[in-house]
Amino acid sequence: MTNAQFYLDDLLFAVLPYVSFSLFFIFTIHRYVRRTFSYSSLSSQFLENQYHFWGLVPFHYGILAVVSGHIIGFLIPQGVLLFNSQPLRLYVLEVSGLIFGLMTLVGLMSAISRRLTNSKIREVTSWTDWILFGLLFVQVAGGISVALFHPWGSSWFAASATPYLWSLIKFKPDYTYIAAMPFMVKLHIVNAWLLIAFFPFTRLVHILVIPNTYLWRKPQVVRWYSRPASAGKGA
Amino acid sequence: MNVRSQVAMVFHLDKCIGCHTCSIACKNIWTDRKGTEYMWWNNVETKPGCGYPAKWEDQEKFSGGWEMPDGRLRLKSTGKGRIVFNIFHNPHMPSMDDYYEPWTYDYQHLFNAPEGEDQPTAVPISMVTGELINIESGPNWDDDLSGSPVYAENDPNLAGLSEEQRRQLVAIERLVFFYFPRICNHCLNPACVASCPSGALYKRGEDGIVLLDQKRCRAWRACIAACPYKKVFFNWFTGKSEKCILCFPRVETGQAPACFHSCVGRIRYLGVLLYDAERVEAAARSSQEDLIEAHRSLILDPNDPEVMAQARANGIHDSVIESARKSPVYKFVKVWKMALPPHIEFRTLPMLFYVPPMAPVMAVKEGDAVDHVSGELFHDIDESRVPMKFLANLLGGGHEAKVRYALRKQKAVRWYRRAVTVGDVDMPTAERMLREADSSIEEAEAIYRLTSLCTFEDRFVIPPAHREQAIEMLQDPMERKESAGFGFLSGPTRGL
Amino acid sequence: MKTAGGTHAQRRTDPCRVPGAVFAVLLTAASASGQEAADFFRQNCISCHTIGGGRLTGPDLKDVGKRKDRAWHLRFLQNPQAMIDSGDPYVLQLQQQARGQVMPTITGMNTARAEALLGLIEAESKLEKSQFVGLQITDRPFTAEDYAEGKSLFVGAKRLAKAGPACISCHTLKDLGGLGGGRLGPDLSRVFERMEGRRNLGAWLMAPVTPTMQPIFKQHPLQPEEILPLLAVFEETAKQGSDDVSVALLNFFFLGLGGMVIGLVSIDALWKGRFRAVRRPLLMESATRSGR
Repeated sequence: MTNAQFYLDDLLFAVLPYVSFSLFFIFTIHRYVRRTFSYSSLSSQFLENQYHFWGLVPFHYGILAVVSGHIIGFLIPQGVLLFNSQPLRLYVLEVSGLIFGLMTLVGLMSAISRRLTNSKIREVTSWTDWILFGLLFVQVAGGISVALFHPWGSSWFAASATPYLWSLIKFKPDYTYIAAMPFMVKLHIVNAWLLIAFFPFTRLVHILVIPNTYLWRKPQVVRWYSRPASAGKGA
Repeated sequence: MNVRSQVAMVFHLDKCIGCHTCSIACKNIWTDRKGTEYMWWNNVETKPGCGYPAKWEDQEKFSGGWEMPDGRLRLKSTGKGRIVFNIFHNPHMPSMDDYYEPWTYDYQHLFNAPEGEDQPTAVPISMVTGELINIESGPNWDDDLSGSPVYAENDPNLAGLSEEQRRQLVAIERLVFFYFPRICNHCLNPACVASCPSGALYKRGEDGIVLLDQKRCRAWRACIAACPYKKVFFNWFTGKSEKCILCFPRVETGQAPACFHSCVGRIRYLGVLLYDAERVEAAARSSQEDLIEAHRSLILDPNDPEVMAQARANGIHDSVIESARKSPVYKFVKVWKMALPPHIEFRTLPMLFYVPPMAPVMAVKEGDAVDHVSGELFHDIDESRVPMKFLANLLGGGHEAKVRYALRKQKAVRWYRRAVTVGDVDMPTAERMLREADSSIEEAEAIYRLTSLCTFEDRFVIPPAHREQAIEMLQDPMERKESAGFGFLSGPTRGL
Repeated sequence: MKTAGGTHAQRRTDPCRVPGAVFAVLLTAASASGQEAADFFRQNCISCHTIGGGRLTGPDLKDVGKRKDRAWHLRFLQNPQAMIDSGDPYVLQLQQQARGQVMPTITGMNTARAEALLGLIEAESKLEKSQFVGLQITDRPFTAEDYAEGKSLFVGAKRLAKAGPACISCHTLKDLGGLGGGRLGPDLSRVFERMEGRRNLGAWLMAPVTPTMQPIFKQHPLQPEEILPLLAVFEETAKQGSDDVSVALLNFFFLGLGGMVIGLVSIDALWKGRFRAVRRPLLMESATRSGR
């Protein structure tokens, strides 16, 4: 209740997001331009492909569902509230969220234990990977604990977190919405900013190079050195 | 007609002595870096055998190449659509365990070991982890039929052989093997290119070499699974795929690729083929019976004025057309029809062709006495120790006729040369043999020359690259004056 | 709310102060108008105070200026807790009247605002009927319809008129059924007793001042015709005591866990034919064959 608390909240909820996003944009672009080669998912499936399945598949499907949920709550909060207006639908949404959250956690834990126990995989694990795993673990485990102990997040995210996030986008940061939230919720938010800040320096950049054009390009690719680049597409 | 040129290859298996010089030449130039230790862009397999990675030809397990479930061509592994759900874990990708874990020996120990009772030894250590390893497999683990009860007996090409034929292949005193050197086939319908979600893999328009853009590779790993020949490799250190580049820096400067150049048996031929790019997909869709012919029909006659005109119209330089006319590959594949594509049923339309090997003479058994000389001077092709079905599975798309045709011609040339040099065969018989083999004295002479007397220049007819034109069209050479140069500004490493 | 709520409230920060002086300057410049003071009063004060409507949690503010001098009020408004700590006898008396509750420090309160508020109260006190006379809730007994309506407002089946989130998002209630209500905020089963009845609770709901609720309901306020049925529900449930929430929590957790296990099993089934290994099984197979 002291001034120190004020300034800490300022720092974590009003300054940190901007620092994080600045880092994110500057360094992902810089890395893409100057170190294009380093953009890779750095898959380790080749070195070990059994536990890989049990780590990566639940993790990715889980986190995709959970992140989509957050994005929907952010984009159409009223739609989410409308959906949740029947308690049964609210419960279905919340239970599905928890299922995907738990799948993410199980996937992450098996990915981490795979890296700890397999000596070949340890060989290709850098300290940035470990930091990333730490941040992800805090984020996922924290998210699950929020879902369990502070329900119903799908509703109150739409009512409280969404206006906070929009206030950030409008450059009028207003964190009164979340200032009195329980510790785990605040930790989840702060850790998200940290993840975004650390993003450009990790393997997470592979998210930015999702190969979307594959679905509509011609299957065969031909490149001509004697023809302009535009003519080099297609077989 | 959309005429394109491709640097194509022929390996004459009858001449391969299995010395692995090609593999070593390639390894020394390209794959001695961290993360590539296990890769053999060029390797030589013993047939029958499981090869590298073990049983790569079994697409029920490896899911490489194309399939046509409903008349439409689709990747057996993950093409469009399916990659979306399988990008996190590729369900068709082999792991290092199916190749082998590269190792070296702890030689330092020989010098540093403390004084003791026993002679110090250099123990094997993994080149991935540096830890002690128990060597279970290697790049040539089943070389010369070693471990044949496991490897030779599980060769996927044994499918369709009778129990007797199988027994015969491995029976003591009757067993037989030949060598099968492999590099990337630089296919016309490459599965690796079609599978790459990032578009990092591409076929070069000018010479058909299939390359992988390391800056666009994001390690989605689809190519590893899609290539039915398992000739795209994953660099576990940089997190990028790599593959045979047909030594393009050498080819562009008029030198043969390292594996070709170093070949002791002189089994390798390299030359330009002109092909019709318009019909590639249709050819890949033909029925299994017609695949070999359809593939062959794509290759155009470089002496045909219309083909030459179309080639010129398509920007192919006269010098390239000229080398296409001299191409040894064209002769083996199209004129003599002696060279066949490996596993055409994968439908990638490989541009590396193999002349099937003449198998050793079948022993004749009379009572308990075994006579190693057949009654005939050259035994009949169908009596060779390698069952025709086996070769047909490997090189004929399962159809014995194509392989038999190629072998008969080889045999007829031998009869003919025997008549010329030794004289224990009379010329009319030799001529009859040639006629039966759909050949002639002139052709036999040409085959003999290109097979036995071939010089460097006969074997490697490399077209000029004309990169000077390409660069002119892309940019002003003066742009790069006084600048830092081309390519990577920093060495390739893992991640940041 | 209670003292605990008060301390929470003090932690709130001024949205405009946050990114620094720029926003602060912008906002203070816009303050001090009469309308602004009325809005501020509505958002921050009416949950505990009326002007001429009688006592709620806090005293009726009609003619409050006559009870103490202006300087005292300015000081008190800006930091009530400090006044208690200083042992001011009048404040302690007020606290006793409010049954121990302390007025929270109001977000965004400053001298200019305090002045404006005092001016507003003075002006409103002179009126025959102030606009802040408070919510006039009928004393009639609640009907079954009131209860049913309140229940559907609580769970969200009937949406709030100003599009605020339903109570169930953050609060639970006895006998809610299913997986119960939310647990971000307190259990509301006995809130009717805690807030001392219909009048105080009703006034509180007009402008909830807890730090998490205030920013939301400032923009999506509850309407008087919604408050009445909700009060019916709170009154009814208060008679029954509260539930043990851990049952709902366990149900929720095990539903999630079960779903996850089903998810993992289906993943395994979906990718049944995935590549596992070829070379090792080959060796194993031949080893067992030759072993036989």
